[in-house]
Amino acid sequence: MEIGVKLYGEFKKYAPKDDDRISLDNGGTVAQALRSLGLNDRDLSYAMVLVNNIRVKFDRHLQDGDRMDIFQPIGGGAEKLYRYVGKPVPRIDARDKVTGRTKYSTDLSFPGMLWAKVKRSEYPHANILKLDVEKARKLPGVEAVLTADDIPGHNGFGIITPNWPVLCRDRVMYMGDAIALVAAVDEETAERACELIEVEYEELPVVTSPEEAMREDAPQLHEKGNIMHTMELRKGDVEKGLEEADVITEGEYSTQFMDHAFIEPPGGVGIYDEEEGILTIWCGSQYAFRDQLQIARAMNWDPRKIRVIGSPTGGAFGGKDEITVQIHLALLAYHTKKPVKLWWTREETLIVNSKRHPMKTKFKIGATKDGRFTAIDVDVTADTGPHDTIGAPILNLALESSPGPYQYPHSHFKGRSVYTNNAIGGEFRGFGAPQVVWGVEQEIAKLAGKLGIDPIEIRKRNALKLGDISSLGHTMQTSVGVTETLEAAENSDLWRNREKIIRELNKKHPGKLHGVGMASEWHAVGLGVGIPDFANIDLEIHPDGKIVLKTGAIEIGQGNITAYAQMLAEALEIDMERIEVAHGDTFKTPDSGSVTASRSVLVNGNAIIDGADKIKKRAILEAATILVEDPNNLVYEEGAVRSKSDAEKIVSIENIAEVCCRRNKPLQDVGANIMAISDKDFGDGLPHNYYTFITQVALVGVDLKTGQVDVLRAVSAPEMGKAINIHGVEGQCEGGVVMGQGYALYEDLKMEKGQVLTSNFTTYIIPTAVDAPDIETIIVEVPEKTGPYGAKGVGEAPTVPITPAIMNAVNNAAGIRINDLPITPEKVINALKAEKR
Amino acid sequence: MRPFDYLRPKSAEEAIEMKARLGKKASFLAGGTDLLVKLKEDAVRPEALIDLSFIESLKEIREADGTVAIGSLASYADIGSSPLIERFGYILRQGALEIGAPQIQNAATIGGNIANASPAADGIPPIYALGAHITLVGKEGRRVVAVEDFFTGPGKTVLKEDELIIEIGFPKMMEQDKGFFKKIGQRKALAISKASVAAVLHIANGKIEEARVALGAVAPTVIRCPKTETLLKGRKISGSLIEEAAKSVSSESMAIGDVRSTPEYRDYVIGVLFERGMRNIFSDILP
Repeated sequence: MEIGVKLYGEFKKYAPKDDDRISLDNGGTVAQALRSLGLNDRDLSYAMVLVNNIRVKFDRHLQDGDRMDIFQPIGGGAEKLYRYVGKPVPRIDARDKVTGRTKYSTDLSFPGMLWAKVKRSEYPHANILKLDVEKARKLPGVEAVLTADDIPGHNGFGIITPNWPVLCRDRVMYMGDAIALVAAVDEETAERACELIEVEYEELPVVTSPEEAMREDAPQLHEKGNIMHTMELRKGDVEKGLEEADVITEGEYSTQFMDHAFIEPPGGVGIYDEEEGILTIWCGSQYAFRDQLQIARAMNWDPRKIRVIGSPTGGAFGGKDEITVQIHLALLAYHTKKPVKLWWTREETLIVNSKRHPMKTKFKIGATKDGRFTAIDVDVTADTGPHDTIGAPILNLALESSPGPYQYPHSHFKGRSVYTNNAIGGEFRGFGAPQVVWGVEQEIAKLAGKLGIDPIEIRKRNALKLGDISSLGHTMQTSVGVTETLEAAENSDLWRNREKIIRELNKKHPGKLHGVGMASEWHAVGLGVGIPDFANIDLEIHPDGKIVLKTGAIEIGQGNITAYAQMLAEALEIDMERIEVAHGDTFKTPDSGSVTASRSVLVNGNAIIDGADKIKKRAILEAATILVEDPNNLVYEEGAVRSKSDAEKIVSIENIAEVCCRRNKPLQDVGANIMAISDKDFGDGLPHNYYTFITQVALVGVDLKTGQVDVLRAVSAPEMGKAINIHGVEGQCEGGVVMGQGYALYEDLKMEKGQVLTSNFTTYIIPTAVDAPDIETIIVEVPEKTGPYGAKGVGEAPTVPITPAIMNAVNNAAGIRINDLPITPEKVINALKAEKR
Repeated sequence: MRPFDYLRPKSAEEAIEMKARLGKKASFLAGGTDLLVKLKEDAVRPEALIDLSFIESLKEIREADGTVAIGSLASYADIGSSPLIERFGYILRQGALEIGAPQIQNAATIGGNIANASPAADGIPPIYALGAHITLVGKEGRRVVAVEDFFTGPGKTVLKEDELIIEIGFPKMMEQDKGFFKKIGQRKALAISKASVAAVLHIANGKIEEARVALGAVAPTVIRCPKTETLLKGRKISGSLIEEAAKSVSSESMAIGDVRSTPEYRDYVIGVLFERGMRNIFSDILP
């Protein structure tokens, strides 16, 4: 039978020559017709087919004389069609990870390897009067016991200010401080040796809160005093703005220390190669190149002689951007000349590693009767613990995040980050935003309630738009999808049908009240004005067809290398299976910056496109000599260079690569990108230029008798420019929701006089699969023209507004508000009792 | 973890012999879900572990003369899947299935749970409510101790140095008996109880003839509620009786505060758990 065919867009290349008909066996299906035209599996995965102007499935049987129109579905008409970008792609590292083939740094083992242990402080604040390691050194099986005296370089580390001692000499300032290192033939001997280290302390008063630290008579923890950092930003006249308001809302919110609870506690292996003079450190990390420099500073070494391999890392969430084991491993490997392994226990991780800062935040927001915000006044106090690490930028981002993605004509933001002898406040997915969004999104809910305006409507009325001047005073110069995420949430089943859903659940579960709440956020992407924010990548085309992408970005479980492979396959128009990604190794990959700040798809993606463009240009020049053709008459297409006029003249990039190799000029190039910055500079890295926008909705049940809160459903509507990997965005949203749920309901690193009371997972409670809600992700795309394929980033935002959304849902259910996290049943019962009174 | 000798007796007699010989220096090892954690944290330092897990005779669950006897080495997975327990002691099954997670239930044994003597153990309130007896065997011979006489404080029992828990026995719950186990933890699974309650009520002619109510995690040991039991005795089931008894349960609770909860909440919520358990089992006769 004869079938009429017409192909559109990129499918035109499959059109039969000089004809618009094909012949097919009687009873053939659409799928068979498409195959006979030459469409491959990938084409079939997104092709759309009309038969006689009606859209059909591919198993439809065709009849003689049918006419087929074969399209690529064109979203919005203008968007480019992609093969890999924007598709749900299985992660390229998934198979090896789920089958256990992947070797993490803590899985590594070498012949003759020693085990290391760290002798840590026994007091949260004390002077070290005497340190005696002789007994430990004499214990059989002990190969090294090192103290501050054994550090050749600077005895300190820290991303911003290196004042976190590698090994304390005179004073300990929290329970996680390290005093000495031991390497021994096995773990048990190393433990025994630690016990034999004798430390004589003089206890000092413990500073347990910022309030205490800021008292005049407080013990001073650092020479500069107890205030580590302050920041203040102003736009307009906040007093005037508040005077113009018809309604003012005020509230004070506090948050707890939160642990990252990544699956792999910090650890790794160090080896010193005496002959080559090279130190190699395998370790969980987010930025191998910064680790390399921090090790070099402490070791007083040439960083080029230090190799750090950070990939793959078993989860980080910000908790492995700072040094953990790296310098200790370097010291021990150098001193013992043997492979050394150091792997923190879970208890050690909970006590030693940095945490999400507790913050106390005061808000004052004014609005007119019709729900326009007139002013916002924010005051933040953060508990940063004893050492700086990256506490200052975290306070800054808290201030930047605190107004939410809304317009305010007048604003005032003030904050301080204060030293204490508590756990260390440090980097954690969200970077200061969860602490303040927790408050501002409750205040806006209160305002909406006072004004009788729907909570999504009030946010839409104040939503930032492209080109607006922000609440901080900079221009919103990249894509802004606040309204779009609000609309997506508004149109979700959960929000649209919330009244019915709540009614039915209340009927089904007497004794429980159900409620739906929502919250939004803008989350900065990238490092901010004045902070070097770049990525480099290397690209190699191999004669066997393999394409190697090298990036310093570390795979910490976030799925970035799959997104990179997708973008590269798209840029080079080749099959993704051909791409191999090397990552996170200071000797084998170029510096691509840290995997932090939701930045790595944006900045690496642009570097990949840059590198691919260079490769394509070079391929054309090389092909010109191979095909003997004017380069201007050559075009790069689908992994090959071909003549525009002569279909016979075509050469694949692998063949070009082969010729290049023979000519001793391999087909390889570098790609680079520097992140674009804001039009304003408020100092200290503020403000940012790119933002993820997100709205989240939660459905909760509140048990009125026990006070337990169950999160039953959650919706995330993130706007990240363009989703590179649909599965990746969904994964970030699902993980983000559960992490934000943990922050809302369970997780609390409790401290008493500087001691951690919850130092393992029986007392530090994270949600289990049974606790997790049903989660829906609605991807919202507002492509950003300066992002790779329109992408920005999405790593952090999905864990932020879910926490206040849960509280707003509890308020919707039971009429109560709780201002300090987590929302435990104990607090809910007290609030319910107070509400009754 | 420190080094220790590992001993593997083939019989209870041999195990007791070993323990008598080594005394304080040795610890019995059953499922290890508590002991290994303590070893890792260096909270205990035994020189030898006597591993009981190869003594098959201690794993039996059997019935005899109106009682059910559970070998001390029966795991909570064994108990949770035993038809005998389901029929004659289902409140223990309810407790068994709330302990930790399946991995822990597979390893943890009832004898180990009892010897560890945590007031928050989910296996213990049910055996209080069932009126269980614990059989101990030592060098001096065998003795049977009522469960409420066994525990003397958190982590403390009347077990002598050479004694081994052999068996836990309880009278079968009969058709006219009703009971429940309820707990509340910090999350829905894999949670140590903030408070737990188990009860068995013997019903005759629509009245409560006898009641045994036991509370977990609200006192230094699991405790019975004598006042509440007296209050219930001889009374007809009604909503108001349950409410009255729930208040009484709360008044008998003697909770302290820790990282998991506050004393006020525990004393309060244990009454809620009791009320819910009662309303569940009497849902057919209550409005």
